[in-house]
Amino acid sequence: MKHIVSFVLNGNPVEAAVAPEHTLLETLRDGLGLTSPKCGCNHGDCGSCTVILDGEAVKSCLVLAMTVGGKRIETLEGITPREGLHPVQKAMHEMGAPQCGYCTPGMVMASVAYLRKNPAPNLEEVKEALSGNLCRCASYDKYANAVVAASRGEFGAMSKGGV
Amino acid sequence: MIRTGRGISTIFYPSGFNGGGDPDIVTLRVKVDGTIDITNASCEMGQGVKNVAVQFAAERLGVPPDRFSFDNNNSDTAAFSMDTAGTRSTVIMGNAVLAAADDLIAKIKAFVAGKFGCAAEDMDYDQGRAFVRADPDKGMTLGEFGAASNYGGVAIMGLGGFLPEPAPPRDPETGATVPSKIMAYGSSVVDVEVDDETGVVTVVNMYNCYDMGTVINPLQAEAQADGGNVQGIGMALLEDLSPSYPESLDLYAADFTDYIVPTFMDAPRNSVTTFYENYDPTGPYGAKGCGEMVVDTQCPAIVNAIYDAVGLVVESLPATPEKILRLLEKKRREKSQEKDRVPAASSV
Amino acid sequence: MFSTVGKRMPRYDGVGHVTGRTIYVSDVRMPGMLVAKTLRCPYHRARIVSIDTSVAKRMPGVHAVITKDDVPHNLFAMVPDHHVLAEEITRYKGQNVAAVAAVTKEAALDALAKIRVEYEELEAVIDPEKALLPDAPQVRPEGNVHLFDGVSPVRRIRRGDVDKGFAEADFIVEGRYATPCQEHAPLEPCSTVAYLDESGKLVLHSKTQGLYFTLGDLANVFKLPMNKLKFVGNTIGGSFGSGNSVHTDHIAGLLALATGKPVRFALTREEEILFTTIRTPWVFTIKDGVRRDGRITARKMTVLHDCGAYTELGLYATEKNANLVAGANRIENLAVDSQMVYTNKMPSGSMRGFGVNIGQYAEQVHLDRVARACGVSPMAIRFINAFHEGDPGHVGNVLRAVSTIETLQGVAEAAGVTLEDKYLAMRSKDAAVAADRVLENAGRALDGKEVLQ
Repeated sequence: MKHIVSFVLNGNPVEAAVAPEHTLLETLRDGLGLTSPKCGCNHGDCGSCTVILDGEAVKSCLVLAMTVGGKRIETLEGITPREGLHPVQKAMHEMGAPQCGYCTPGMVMASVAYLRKNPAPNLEEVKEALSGNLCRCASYDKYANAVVAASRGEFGAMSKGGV
Repeated sequence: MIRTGRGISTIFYPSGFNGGGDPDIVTLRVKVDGTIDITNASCEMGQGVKNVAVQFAAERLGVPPDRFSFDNNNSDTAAFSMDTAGTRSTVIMGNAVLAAADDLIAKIKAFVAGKFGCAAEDMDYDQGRAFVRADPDKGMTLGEFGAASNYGGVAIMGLGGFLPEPAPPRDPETGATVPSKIMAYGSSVVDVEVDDETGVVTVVNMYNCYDMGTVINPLQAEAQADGGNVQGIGMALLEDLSPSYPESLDLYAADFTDYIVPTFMDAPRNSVTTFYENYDPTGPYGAKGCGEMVVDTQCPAIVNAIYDAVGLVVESLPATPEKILRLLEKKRREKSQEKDRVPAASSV
Repeated sequence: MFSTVGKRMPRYDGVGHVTGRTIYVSDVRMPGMLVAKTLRCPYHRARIVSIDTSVAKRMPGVHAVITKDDVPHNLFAMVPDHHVLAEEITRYKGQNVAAVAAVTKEAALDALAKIRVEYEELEAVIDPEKALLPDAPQVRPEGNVHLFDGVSPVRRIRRGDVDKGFAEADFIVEGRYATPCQEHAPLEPCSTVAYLDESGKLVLHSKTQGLYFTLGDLANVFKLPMNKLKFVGNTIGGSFGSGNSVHTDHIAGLLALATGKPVRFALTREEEILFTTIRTPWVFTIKDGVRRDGRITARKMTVLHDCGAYTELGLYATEKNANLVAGANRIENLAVDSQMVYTNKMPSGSMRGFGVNIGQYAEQVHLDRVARACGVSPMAIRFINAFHEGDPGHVGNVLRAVSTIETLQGVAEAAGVTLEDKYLAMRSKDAAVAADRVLENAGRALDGKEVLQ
């Protein structure tokens, strides 16, 4: 039996028909046609599917879709400005962090959620905050440096709070 | 107690298939506006093959890299590539890009020469423009050429290929052959901390010096080297699918909870990679290749650093905390037994 | 000197990566697409007595159930000895036995549960050293030990005179080193979307590392000419060598051909870790003779590669390993004996550093032991035995653009290691050494053993 769940996705109200066993990741990808949340392990180990749920970075493969009714969900599609890039995206791109790019959407989302709460972190804090996101190409240094550089405004001002 | 140690390693790594004979082909197609499509079926898996192809083509044709697109989309449209493996693309696809660019320049010269009623030998090409040597005002830019050739119904494409010479048959008795003519070299120094109470090994500093010939794109080469560092740490300290092997495969990882892939926290605290660019005479612009040569030095250097820290030779990978503790215990036991014994004669 | 080469140019596809616009195989969906799942053998080694798919085929939502009899040519891989779907004998746990295409994942899994396979479990061998024993279970009908050039169980390298070299040594240093099963673990799990285009051409969105490599391999499996087969690749979510072996393309393609509908076959992370190719284990032994001054006079190595149940890329790895396993050291007297043995585990894939880094782990750890035996520092032992320009490699090829010495000097500087003046002054292209080498090499060329290039 599927149920209709309504929530706010990247600022827009949406409805999705979900079965009780469906995860938020499945619903975003197969139900709503987004491609930025990636499935790497489906076990919450890799972080490729990270999205922001009511302000918190979550692994969408661990969230049951039935539980997100009425909540606000942000994905990389919502973080990306209509023109240009978010400072975190810009920093990661220009500093050469992504290699294969499959972990990148999750990295951006985890980083954006973290910087909203900790706008001026040091390198060690960033590494710890992102340690739930795996990158097998292992661009860890470049990702961490990019997040710190973005936090310092080196890639443009970051808007507070919202998208 | 935390004990520190330093380890060293030095390696070499070949570019291209073992024994050569692995070709690549590249096509360059000038569009109506003078932009250029590069086609080659190399796979982009994070190593940055697209940038490398564009950088080679831009260099050879003397035009900015934003003029190019790279099509590796499918086997119907992208020119042949033997495979994307064996640290081969920079060298082999790269040489094919240069050959295709040279072919394109020759064909552009011939086409433009025809427009001005002279011979191709009378033409020069510089930075995207072919012109009459004796009268440089007579010439065509790539944009003008693209429009004139395409709208003129003249099919012009730069074609190039490269085949690393196949090795002679391997001598069955001595093994004599030529594995690869292009070899990259690298050395590393690694500092570790070993906690002799928990067996945990932490990589503190990782210094690498790599000769991959000319570094085509340092931003990408550094990222690959970072990846090599962390994958080397994974190989040295963490990754083992089946800890009960070779007795059985009964214990076998099935997810990233049991199969430990290094995280942000496992990367070296400090890492420095420098490049010693010893140009290879047959590599494109002297390049040797990067992908796999940056994932060899770390593991032995870490294992050697563990010896330096606690006097243990880790003879099977990975050096997990359990293994380190077991080896430390064994060493302690042997030491206490040794005290009771007459000292043995030295080796040999 | 260069205008574009050597520049820190951000990735061509970097904006796609940071915006999530890059489309990977796992993002590809087609209208009316079916889901594929496979039934895998639960034993390390077994005989398939019977397979009954009749009930599964009648299940609601099931479009096709295929077994070995439905595969036009049931062999694939670089060395094509691997079965797409198991024949009578299964050789590793997780080997594909049957495949289903159905309208949903649930329907596909329900159908798998209705396939009846009667197995006779057979004794298996996991340990490569046990697989060498005469009474070991036979992984393959032709035997467990690969025969090089069709005749020799050992792949040999012979240079100089090892016995003479050991006689000249002041110390003999021996060691044994082993490496485990390792998983590539690219973050994008392997998947394929296969469909027939308007002309009947089979199109496969693939995670292969080599579009043409796999095209050639699978044209044989499907028995299709290459104008009826198209691989779509482009950007994949990491691979590290896993994409040199076929994991999903063959079965997705067969099911698309069988159903005429688009089929997606995606491995779960568990399937990818448990059942696809791995960096297979190796065992090395090294015996070195070394003089008091740190010069290696002789080296004898044995290599045992546990290739798993099928050759896949294992033979290539064994060959490549043999050529390089003695490391970046000049060794006049060398003997390497390599063996490749089949066991009942998933086959040997290629993995970054393929065939080489496992051997260089053994060799470089052993070299430190050698240094300790003769009381030379780890840095010094590497300078003392370093390759120079024009040196012969271990299989006789002349080395050029050699940088062992310079990279050691470079890394010493970066790490703040103080080098003795004599090591700081060394150069790979040292004229005296080079002249010496040319003479030696010329001598070798005369007796036909080595050829200067």
